[in-house]
Amino acid sequence: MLPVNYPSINGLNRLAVEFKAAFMKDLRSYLRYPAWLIGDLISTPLWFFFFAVGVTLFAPTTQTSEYHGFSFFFFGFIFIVLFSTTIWGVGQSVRNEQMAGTLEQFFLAPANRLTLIVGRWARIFVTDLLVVGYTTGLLYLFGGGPLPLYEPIPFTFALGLFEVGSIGFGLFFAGLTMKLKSYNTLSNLVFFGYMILTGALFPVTVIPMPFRYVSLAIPFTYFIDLMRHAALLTPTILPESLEYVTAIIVAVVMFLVGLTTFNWIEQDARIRGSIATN
Amino acid sequence: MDPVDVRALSKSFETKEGPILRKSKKTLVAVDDISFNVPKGEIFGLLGPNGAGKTTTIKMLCTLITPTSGDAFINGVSIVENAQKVRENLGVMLTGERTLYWKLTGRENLEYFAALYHLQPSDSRTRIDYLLQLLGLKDREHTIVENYSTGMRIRLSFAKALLNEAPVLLFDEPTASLDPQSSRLIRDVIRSLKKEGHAIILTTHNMDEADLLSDRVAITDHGRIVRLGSPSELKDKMKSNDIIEIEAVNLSDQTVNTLQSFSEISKVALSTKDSNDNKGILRIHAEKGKEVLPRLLEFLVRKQISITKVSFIEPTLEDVFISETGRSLRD
Amino acid sequence: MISGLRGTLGVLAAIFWKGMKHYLRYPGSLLIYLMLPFLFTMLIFGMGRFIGGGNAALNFATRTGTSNVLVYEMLGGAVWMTSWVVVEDVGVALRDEQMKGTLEQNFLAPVNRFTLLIGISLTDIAITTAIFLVVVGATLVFTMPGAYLAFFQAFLILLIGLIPLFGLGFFFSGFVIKFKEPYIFTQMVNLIFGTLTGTYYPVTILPYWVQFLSGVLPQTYVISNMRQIILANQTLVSLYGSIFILLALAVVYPTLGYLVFKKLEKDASVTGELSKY
Repeated sequence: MLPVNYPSINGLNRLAVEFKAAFMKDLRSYLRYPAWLIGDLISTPLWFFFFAVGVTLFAPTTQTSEYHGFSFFFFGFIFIVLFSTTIWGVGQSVRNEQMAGTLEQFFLAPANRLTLIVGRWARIFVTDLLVVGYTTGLLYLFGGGPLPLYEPIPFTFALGLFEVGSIGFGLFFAGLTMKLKSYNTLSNLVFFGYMILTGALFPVTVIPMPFRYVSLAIPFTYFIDLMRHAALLTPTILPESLEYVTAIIVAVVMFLVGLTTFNWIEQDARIRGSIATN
Repeated sequence: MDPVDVRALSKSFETKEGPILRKSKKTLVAVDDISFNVPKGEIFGLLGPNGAGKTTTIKMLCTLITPTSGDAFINGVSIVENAQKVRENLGVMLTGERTLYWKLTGRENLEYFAALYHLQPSDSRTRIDYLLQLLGLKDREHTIVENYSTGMRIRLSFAKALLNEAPVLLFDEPTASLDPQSSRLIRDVIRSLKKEGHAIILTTHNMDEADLLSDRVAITDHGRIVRLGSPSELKDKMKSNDIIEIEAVNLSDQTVNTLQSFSEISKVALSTKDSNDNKGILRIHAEKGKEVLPRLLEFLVRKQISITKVSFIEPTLEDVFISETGRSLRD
Repeated sequence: MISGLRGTLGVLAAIFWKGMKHYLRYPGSLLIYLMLPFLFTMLIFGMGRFIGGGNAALNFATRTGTSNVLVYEMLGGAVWMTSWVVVEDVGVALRDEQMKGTLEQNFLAPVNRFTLLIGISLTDIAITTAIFLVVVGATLVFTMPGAYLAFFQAFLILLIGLIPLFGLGFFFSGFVIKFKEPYIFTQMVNLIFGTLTGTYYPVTILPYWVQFLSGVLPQTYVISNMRQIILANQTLVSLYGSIFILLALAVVYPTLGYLVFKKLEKDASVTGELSKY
């Protein structure tokens, strides 16, 4: 055997280097297109405004319940932004690389796939948090008042569970888009399904009965419910400790299923020779 | 074991063709039971027309495609059993300019891939500086790839393949779309890599390049290796025949078929030079070329074919291909 | 070679069918356009029920003058989708071709640019008609059966409103050829249009300076007139003032849009942007 010339980085350092490389690559590309950043800064508050004004028509003419309703709604908006990171940051990232022609390079390198995808996800998560923070600030400036967050630590834990499950879902979706090629329709349907059925924008109790069973079967419903409970002290769907245990198990299972599906679809793409296919 | 050891590698693809609701399955054999090895410090050329299976072979060796059967060992590691480890032993340049991140600069692209190949940051800085200088990209290292010319992108893609100084290098059509000056630069670098002891496989449909660079050439057609040997060995085997090249107008497949019936002629191939004027080039392999030439010319003139040039030429790798397949490499 | 009017009609037909084939071969995008108005309406209605509780519909009626929430929202949603289709197809089509590398091939052909844009617009007339028929038609069949005349008048309003909308599309077409990045651009533009034109609320609840911006957009009049006709028993005749404004926009926008497109296209060909990915 010929020597492999370069002393390479080993162990956990490897993962850290790969993660950083993927994060920085994505950040650089993002910042090189000011249109993307400007687009996010304009469209994120505008989406909130667009829905909020439409919803105002239904609100009581007195002021008392509106604010709490809007906190509920604003958190729902945050949950939507977080999920969009999953769909478009993780789910479509692989397909986007395939269309750009760089997916083969991605698979050629002896780097861990998950680290690269998570690196990209992390960049989008960070920029999303900044944009949400900016939108929250705007809301405060325009008289919306401060956003309540009664239990920050449980909220962060629930957010962590959401993200673990999300990444798993994103990986599953990424594999699916590699196989299906045409992903826009699917992405939109999944996204709207999430918005309507998971209690993101309104409690699942508003959803009529047969459809409510579907909502209760979706893992994201519980992640969102726990985050909202921690932020606004709303009641939980299940008893609190049971809901946490359920959410932890479900998050781990989603992650493992997503990773397994992605690996399987990658292997299938290698057998079919379709990694490069546009 | 040689750094590259390919054993009975095959790849078939299943496709569905036909009208909607009446599609039938078809199996396309892209690579059919090929075996070869590449020792240290050798440039091994895979030469063949489009669709011969060269790129599929490269993609199997670099683990982007899983073989249907057979195996290959890159620096002793099986591509089937341990794909991840194989990638650590490879430097690969795939064809096309869309293999880079267009929103990153040349340097940023290389830094990114260096991290993916687990180079230490200090080593990668030095290595990237060296490669950018070597390939004439140093003054444009901070320009985003979107603003590079095609030649610059291909050179950057080539640099990316050399980042990790891998023992085995795979180059898929490395000089395609390059101007002569850039092509010469790439070839010079490939020769110096050979001297450094890397085992190199390069694919091309440019026979002159294969002839110039390769220590050995495998001529491929329809997924099989039809001939294997050094360029001089392969051409020497053709020396028993005279090669006549005739440039003419109004040549057709019918002409080729008729010429094939001449007893002295072993092989005839037609390639189109200019489809607007119907200009083509006939390459004729004949045992006693000087004797058959007058009859040949008489036949062509009788068929009202305008001849613009006639010459006896030294056999090339194209002639080796023609002798095996009856077709030109340019078809 | 076919020349004159026959030649132009042939080109228009070719571009029209190219666009239609895309929708027929990839029906997913059409499916999304048909479903989005229903999905958005469900979202807003769900949020509204939560916010307003049992009095949600009553609160809505107080503010809009109608308790028919579904028709009110679906009309806005259908028109919003219509403008979405136009921005995506007319506005972005050429940029899509630029990214695929076929724009130069199109521009190499001896075809007038205006003909090219009109051809793309023809496909959109077919698609937006389909959206209107399915979205609004289906909604009216279940909620207001028998409202045929109102439905027909609303359809005429849509057709008139499409003309200035195409003009806006021409403007965007030039803009994205020069400045690239169509997708973030279309997302922003569609959202701004949705916000300003009263898609899910009357524009009268917006601040005055915003209403001024709404007043220059054709969709504002289309949505408002459709609601007046279907929900408030108005007719085309009684809305003559608003229709006149729409007709004026139908002259101004295509003219301006095409002039801007030509200018930006020329700039792009001078700087070499036309062939740039």
